[in-house]
Amino acid sequence: MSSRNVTAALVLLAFTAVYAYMTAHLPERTLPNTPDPSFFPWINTALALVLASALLFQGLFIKKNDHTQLEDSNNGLALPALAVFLAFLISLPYLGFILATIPFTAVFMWFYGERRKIVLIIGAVVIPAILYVLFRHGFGVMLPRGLLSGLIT
Amino acid sequence: MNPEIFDGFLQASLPISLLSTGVGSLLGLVVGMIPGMTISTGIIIVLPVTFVLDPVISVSLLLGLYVGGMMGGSFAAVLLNIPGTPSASATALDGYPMSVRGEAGRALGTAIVASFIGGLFSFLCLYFIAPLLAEVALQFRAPDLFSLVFFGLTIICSFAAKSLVKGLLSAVIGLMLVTVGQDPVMGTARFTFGDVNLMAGVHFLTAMIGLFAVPQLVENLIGRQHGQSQTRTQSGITSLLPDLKQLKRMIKPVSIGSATGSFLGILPGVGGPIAAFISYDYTKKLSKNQQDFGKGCVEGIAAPESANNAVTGGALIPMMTLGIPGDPVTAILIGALMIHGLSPGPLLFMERGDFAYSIIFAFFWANIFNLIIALSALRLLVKLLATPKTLLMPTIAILCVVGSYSLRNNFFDVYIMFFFGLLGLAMRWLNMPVVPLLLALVLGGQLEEHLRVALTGARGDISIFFTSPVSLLFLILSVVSVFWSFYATRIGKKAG
Repeated sequence: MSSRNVTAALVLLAFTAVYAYMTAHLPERTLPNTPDPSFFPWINTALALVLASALLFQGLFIKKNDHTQLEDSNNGLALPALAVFLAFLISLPYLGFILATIPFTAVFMWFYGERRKIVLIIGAVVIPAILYVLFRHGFGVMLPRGLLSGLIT
Repeated sequence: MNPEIFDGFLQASLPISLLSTGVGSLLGLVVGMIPGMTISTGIIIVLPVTFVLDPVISVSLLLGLYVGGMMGGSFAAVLLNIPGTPSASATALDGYPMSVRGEAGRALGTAIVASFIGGLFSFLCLYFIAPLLAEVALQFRAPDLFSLVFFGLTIICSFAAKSLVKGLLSAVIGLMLVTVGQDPVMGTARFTFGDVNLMAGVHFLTAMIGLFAVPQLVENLIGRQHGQSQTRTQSGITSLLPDLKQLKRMIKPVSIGSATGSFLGILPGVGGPIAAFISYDYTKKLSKNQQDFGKGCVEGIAAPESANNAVTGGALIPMMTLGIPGDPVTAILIGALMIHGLSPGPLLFMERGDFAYSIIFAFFWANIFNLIIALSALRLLVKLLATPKTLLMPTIAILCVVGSYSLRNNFFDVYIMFFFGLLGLAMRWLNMPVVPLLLALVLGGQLEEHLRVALTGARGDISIFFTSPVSLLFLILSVVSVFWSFYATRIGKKAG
C-alpha cells in the first residue's frame, strides 16, 4: 500500500465531490440543443472521478517505491522557508516592497547557508534596492511603497 | 521578397532587438549551465521585464534565453557530469569522459558548434514550413480546431510515461482550474465564489511561476541541507574551435541530430531529452566506432547537442502556426505573447505577418549570438558555475513575487502564485508531473470553446468530429501521438 497515493486520491475525490456539487449549481444559460456552461465541468468531474479512483486502487493494491527528495523536507528548513515566504507575501502590501523584502532576503540568505553578517546585511539591502529601482523606475511596475510612501519615489 | 519577411527581418535586426537577443542568449547560457536552474526558471526571471517591452524585443529576449539555455545545459554536463538541463543528459555520456581526459575545451567546442548547426537547420525548417502550415490551418473550422487542440494535449502522455494515472490526473486538475472564471461561450461566472479577481480566471503565467519556481527553491534548500555542492569546476579549457579533422567527424552525427531534432521538435511533447537520446542512439548504431561511444568521442557529443538545439526551432513551428506548444517553454512563450495581445496560431501570419517573421529571424539571431558568446566568453561563463545560491535563490524568490504582481499590478495574483507553488510541491511529493497541468491551463480554454462551438454548430451531433476529414486526421494523429510518446520515451530510456 502507498499511503501517499491513498491520501492524494482521497483528497482528490473530496475535491471532485465539491467541484461536482458546484457544477450542479451553476446557472443554466444556454440555447436549445447547445451545451450549457456546466457541460465541460461535468466532463472534468467524470474524468477526475475515474482517475482519482484509479489512483486510490493503485495506492491500496499496488506497491511502488515512490521516494522523492521532497519527503525529506519535513524535518528540514523547507516548512520554515515556506512560512517565511507566506509571511513576506502577507506583509508586502502593508509594509511595502522595500521594508518587507529586506528581512525576507536576509532570512532566505541565511536559509541557503550565508552566515557572514556583513554579507547578509549588504545582500539584504542591496538586492531589494536594485530590484525596486529596476522594476519601479526602469520598467514602470508599481511596486508598493507601503510605510515608506513619501520617503521614497 | 515578401514585404512582411523583409519587415520581420528589419524588426528582429534593430539594434535594440539584437541587444535583447544577445542579453537573452547570455542569460540562457548562464541559466542553462547552472545545475538546479532550468530554462523555465530563466524565463520566470525575465518575464516581468517582458511585460513592459515591445513584443519584438520581448520575443527576442525570450528566444535568446530559450536557445541559450539549451546550449548552456551542455557546459555543466561536460564539465561536471551534471546536465544543466534534461536535454543535455545525453551529452554528458561522452562529454564528461572527454573532460576527465583533459579535453574539456575540445568537448565544449564540439557542443557549441553542433548546437549552432542544429539551431540553424531548425531555423531553415521554421522559415520554410511555418508559413505553409499556417496557410493550411486557416481553413480549419471549429471541429477541426477542437481535434487540433486535443492533439496538442496528447503532449501530456510523454510526461505521463512514468504513471499514466498521475499524468492524466495532473491534466484534469488543470482542466478543472481552467473552468474558473467566465465561461468562454456564454460568459457565465463559474467557481468564482463571488470574487471579482477570479472572473478573469487563473492566469497561467502566474500558475507557471508558482508551479516551477517555488518547488525549485525548496529543492535547492533541501539539496543544500544534503550537502550537494555545485562549485566544483574543471580546469583545462584550452582551444575551443574544432579543427578540420574534428569537423569532418561531426558531419554525420550533426546531420542525424539536426534532422531528428527538427522533426521531433514539431511533434508535441517529444522534447529535447528524447530527441538527444534518439539521435545519440542512431549515430552510435550507424558508426564504425561504436566501442568509442560512452568513453568520450566527438560524435557522442555532436549528435545529441545538434538534436536538442534543433528541437527549439521545431517546437516553434506548431506554436506559431497552430497555437499548440511543442514543449513547456513554448507554452510559456504563448503566454508571453498573449500578454501583448498576440495569440499564436494561423491568424498570426495573416494578421501580423511581419511579427511572425520577426520571431523567425529573432530565432536566427539567437543562434548566431549563442555561437559568438559561447566561443568568446566561455571561460568567464564557466566561473558562473560557482554562483552562490545564497544570493541567487532569494533573488529568484523575489522575482517570482514581482513577476506575478506585475501581470496585473494585483496582489491577488501573488497569492495565486503561492497557491500554485504549494500545489507544485504537493505534486512533486506525489511524483505527479506538473507539465500536464500547465499544458491543460494553456490549452483547456481553447479546448472547451472549440468543443462547445462545434457542438452548437452541429446541434449537439457528436459525429461532426468524425465526418470532418481534418478533424478525423487529428484524432487519428492523437492516437498515434499517444503511442509514439510511450515508444519514444522507451527508446530514450534504453539509449540512456
